[in-house]
Amino acid sequence: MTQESPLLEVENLEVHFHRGRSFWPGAKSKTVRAVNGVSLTVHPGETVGLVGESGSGKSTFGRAVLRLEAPTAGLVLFEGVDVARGTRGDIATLRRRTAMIFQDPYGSLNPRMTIGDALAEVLRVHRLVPVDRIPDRVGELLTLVGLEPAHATRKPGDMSGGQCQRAGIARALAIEPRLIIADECVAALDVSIQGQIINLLMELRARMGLAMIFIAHDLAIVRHLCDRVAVMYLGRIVEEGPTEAVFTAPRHPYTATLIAAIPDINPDHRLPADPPPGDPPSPMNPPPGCPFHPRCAFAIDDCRGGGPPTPKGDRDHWGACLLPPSVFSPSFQPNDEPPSGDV
Amino acid sequence: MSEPILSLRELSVSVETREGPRALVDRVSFDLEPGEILGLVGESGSGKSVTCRALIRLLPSSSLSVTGGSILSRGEEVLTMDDRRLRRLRGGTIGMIFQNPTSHLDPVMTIGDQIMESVRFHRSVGKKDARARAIEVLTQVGIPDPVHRLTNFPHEFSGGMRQRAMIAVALACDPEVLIADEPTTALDVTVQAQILRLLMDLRDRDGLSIILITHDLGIVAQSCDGVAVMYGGRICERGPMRTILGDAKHPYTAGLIACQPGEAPKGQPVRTIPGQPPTVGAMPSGCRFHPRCANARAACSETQPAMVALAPDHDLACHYPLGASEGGPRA
Repeated sequence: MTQESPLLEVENLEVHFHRGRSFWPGAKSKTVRAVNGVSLTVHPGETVGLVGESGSGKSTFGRAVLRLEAPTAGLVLFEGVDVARGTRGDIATLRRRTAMIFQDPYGSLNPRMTIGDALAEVLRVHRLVPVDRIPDRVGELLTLVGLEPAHATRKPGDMSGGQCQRAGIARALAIEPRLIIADECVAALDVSIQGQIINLLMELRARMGLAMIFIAHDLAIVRHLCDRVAVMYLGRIVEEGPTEAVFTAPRHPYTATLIAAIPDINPDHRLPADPPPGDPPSPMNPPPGCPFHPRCAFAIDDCRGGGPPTPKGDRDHWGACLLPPSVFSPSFQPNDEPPSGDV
Repeated sequence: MSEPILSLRELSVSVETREGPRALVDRVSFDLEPGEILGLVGESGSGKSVTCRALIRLLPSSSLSVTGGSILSRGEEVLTMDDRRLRRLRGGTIGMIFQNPTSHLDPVMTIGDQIMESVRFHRSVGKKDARARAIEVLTQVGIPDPVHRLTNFPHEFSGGMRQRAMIAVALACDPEVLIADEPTTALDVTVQAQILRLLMDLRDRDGLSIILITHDLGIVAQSCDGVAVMYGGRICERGPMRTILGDAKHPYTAGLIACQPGEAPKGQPVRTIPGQPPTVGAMPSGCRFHPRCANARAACSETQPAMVALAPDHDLACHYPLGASEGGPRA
C-alpha cells in the first residue's frame, strides 16, 4: 500500500436521521442510525469499493463524506482538513476537489439544460477556465468521456442512458477532482453499456490518478474495478480488505453470504440451496450484539448480546466477527499470507 | 416431447407513432413446455416485456396492438378469445408477477383480501374457503405466520415479502403458467437468491411452468431450463440453457456472455458491445444487430436472417454464425 498521506480519512462517522417526529410535544421520535461509526481511509489514486444491501448506509456514507448530508458525529479529513465541522470556505474547497456520479443518469441532469450548458455552469461557478475558453473546454470534456463535442447542444431527453451517464461523468471531471464518489453509477444501465462505463472509469483513473469510492451492490463489478473493498451492514463496516483477499477468504460471514448469493453464469456453480432467511433488518431498530446474527447460520450465543464485535485480523484485512474465519469461509487458512504481494 | 403448454407463433406487436406503425415485437415464436423455466433474455427495448404482456392481451398502452401471429394456450387461440374467456385466462391459467411489487399490489387492500378477491373471482367458493386458500398459498410462498399476515397491508411487508405476496396473489388460482417480469431486479442479492429458490421449488414441487424475463445471465444459468435471446424485437437465438451459455452461435449472445465483468482478467478492460441497443424509431435493416456486430458483412445489412434449426432444440437467426466455416451467407 502507498505510504503517501491519505487523501481521505474518515473516523467514526455517524449520520443519524430523525423519523416519525410527532406533532404532539413530548412524543418520542425514532432515530435511524444510517451510518453508525464508520472509519475508512482512501489514498490518492486508490479505488475503494463500498458494498452492501439496501439500507446498509453506503449511499448516506458517500453523501456525508461530500458534506451533502450533515454528519452527526465523527471526523471527515479531506487532505487533512476536517470537513465535517469545516467552515464554508473549507466546504467550497471540498466541492472543487471532489465530485459525485449518481445512479440515475437522467435524474441527475437538468432536463431543460443542454449538456453543454450543464458543463459550462460548473466551469463558470468554480471559475476554472476563462469565460472565452469555456466552449473549448466543454468540447474537451465531452471528448474525454467518449462523446462528440456536438453532444453539447443536446438535452438529456435526446440521449441514451449510457450517453447521459457519460455526460454525468464529464460533469464530475470538469472540476478535475482528486476524489470521485460513484454511487451505483452503472446499476441502471444495460449489460452491454455497463462495460463501456466501467472501462471509461478505469481509463480515467489511470490517466488522471483519480481516487474513487465505488458504491455498488454488484460484486462482480466491484471485484473487477476496486483495489480494496469495505462491506457495510446496517450502518457499520463489517469487513475491509484488499479485494481479492475479501473475495477469496472473507473474514465475515455476511461477506461470505453475499458472495455465495450472486447467481454465477457458470451453471455448475449452484446457488446455495438454503439462502439466508429474512431481509436485511431496518436500521431503525437494529438487533443487539452483532447486527448480522439474526440471519447468520453460524451465530453462537455470544453474538446475540452486548455491542457489535470488535474488528479481528490485521490492519489490512479485518472482519468484525467473533468466530475464527475458517468456520464460515472454507478457503480460509489461518496461517496463509495475504495473497497479493504489495499489501 | 409432450405438448407445449403455451405456444407462440410469429407474434408481432406494433406501436402507433407519428410516422406510422412500428414493430416492437417482430414475428416471435417459442414454446413453453410443462414444468419448464424459460428465460427470456434481452436488454431494455428488446421487446421481452411487451411479448409477455401480449401473451395475456394486457398491452400497457392503447397505442400498442398485436398485428399478427398466434398464441395457443393448451391449444386454444388467445388472440380471438372473448372477454369472458380472457378473464379466466388471466390469473386463472396464466399468472403474472412484476419487477416492482409495490406498484402492482393495491396499497389500500390487505394482502388477504387481494388473494381472496382473485380466488372468489375465478372460483365459485365462499369466503371461508377463499380465506383457507389464501393461508395455503401464503404458506406455499414461504411467508411465516400467514394467518396474521393476511390482515397486513403491503406497506407492512418488506421488499422480499412483498414480492412473495405478489407471487401468492398470482398463484392463488393455481395457474399452469407464471410469467415473471424481472421479479428480482429490485431486490437485494440475498433476497433475490430466496425468490429464485422459491420459483425453482414451485416448478419442481408443483410443476409450474415459468417464463422468466431477465437481463441477468447469472439468473438464467442458475434457474432456467431453456433460453430465448431477444434483440430489437426479434428472437436471435434460442435453445437449452447449457447450449446457449456454453456454445452460443449468435454474436450477440456471445457478446452478452463476454460482457460479464467476471469474464475479463482483473484490471483489464471489460469486453463490451460497441454502440447502443436500437430504438423503435430507428431499427436497422437486415439483421438488427449488424451495426454492432464484429462479424457483419454485406448480407447482414441487406436481408433479415431466417430462423434456422442448428439442432432439434437449438435455433439461430444469423447469416454468419460463430464457429461456422467461411463461405457465403447461409440460406
